[in-house]
Amino acid sequence: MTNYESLSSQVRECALRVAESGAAGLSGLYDLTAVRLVRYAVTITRNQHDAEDVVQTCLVRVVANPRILTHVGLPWSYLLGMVRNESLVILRKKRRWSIVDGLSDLITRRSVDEVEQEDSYRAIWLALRTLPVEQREVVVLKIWEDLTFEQIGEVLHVPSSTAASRYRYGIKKLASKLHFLHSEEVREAVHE
Amino acid sequence: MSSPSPNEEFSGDGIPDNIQHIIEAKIRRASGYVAPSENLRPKTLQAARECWDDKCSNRTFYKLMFSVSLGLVMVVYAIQGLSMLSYSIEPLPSEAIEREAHRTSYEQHISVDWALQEEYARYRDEQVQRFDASVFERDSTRPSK
Repeated sequence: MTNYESLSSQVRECALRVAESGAAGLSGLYDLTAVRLVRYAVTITRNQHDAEDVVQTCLVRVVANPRILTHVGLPWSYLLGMVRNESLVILRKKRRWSIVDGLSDLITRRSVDEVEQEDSYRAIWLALRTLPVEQREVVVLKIWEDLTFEQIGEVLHVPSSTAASRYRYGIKKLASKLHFLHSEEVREAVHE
Repeated sequence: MSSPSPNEEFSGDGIPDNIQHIIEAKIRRASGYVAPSENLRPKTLQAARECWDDKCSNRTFYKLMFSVSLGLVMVVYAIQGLSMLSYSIEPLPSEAIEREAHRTSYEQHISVDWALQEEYARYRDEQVQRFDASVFERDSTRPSK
């Protein structure tokens, strides 16, 4: 069983627990999915407060009707789709000028040995935010959620070839924005 | 995709696979940089509890409304049944009883008071017979189970 299938199965079990015990059963589903869902929602909304509202709304909706996860084939895909739709609604409602540039909205965590890496992480998050939403959500689902293009297509309701194409263009833009094409690492990699 | 030569300029639609792997690895490492705020968990669980309580109280409300509706339907049915019974007994006007009493008094040479008493007694007997007849008729027309 792949990670994706395993996660889907765990999401279904948590949803069954919610169906049996109501709100008391939500803590399991929250602990399993909240970090991933917030991370995904932030890449779409470009605002962590909105992203957290989205995740809260979607999880409460599951409590109101657990069947939306217990009776679908791929509960994890469905939950990602719920978060995506809700995030896009919020994104459309927001005016362009109100979207915060920079990363001041993010709530970050880093361990002591990652302090040096913080500049790199910030650069990556900033670069992601400059991509069109269609490309950045594919990049995030591919790299952070480890989905295949077919699975990404199911979440986004697009063909897998479209997902692959968006990913290719997204990675290329990121490479340019992060100056990877001229960095020392790249030169070393090229020489290998 | 073949590895580029050391001095090759990167152009065209694609980027070399090894470069792509480096970029993907860097992006993957940044995945843990953002974390949900500390109050998201308690806030979400609280909102879920309120939603669940609303759902339960709505369920109770709908059950109550259903019971009340069912009770009303039964009461209406009972009233209809009783009113059908009452229509089968026609009250005799008191004037007619008095006229009969006077006639009986004249024919049988008894006082009007005694005649009135007899007429009312006869009227009561007729009412009882008609009531029994209407109940019998209703029971006989009701389909057997």
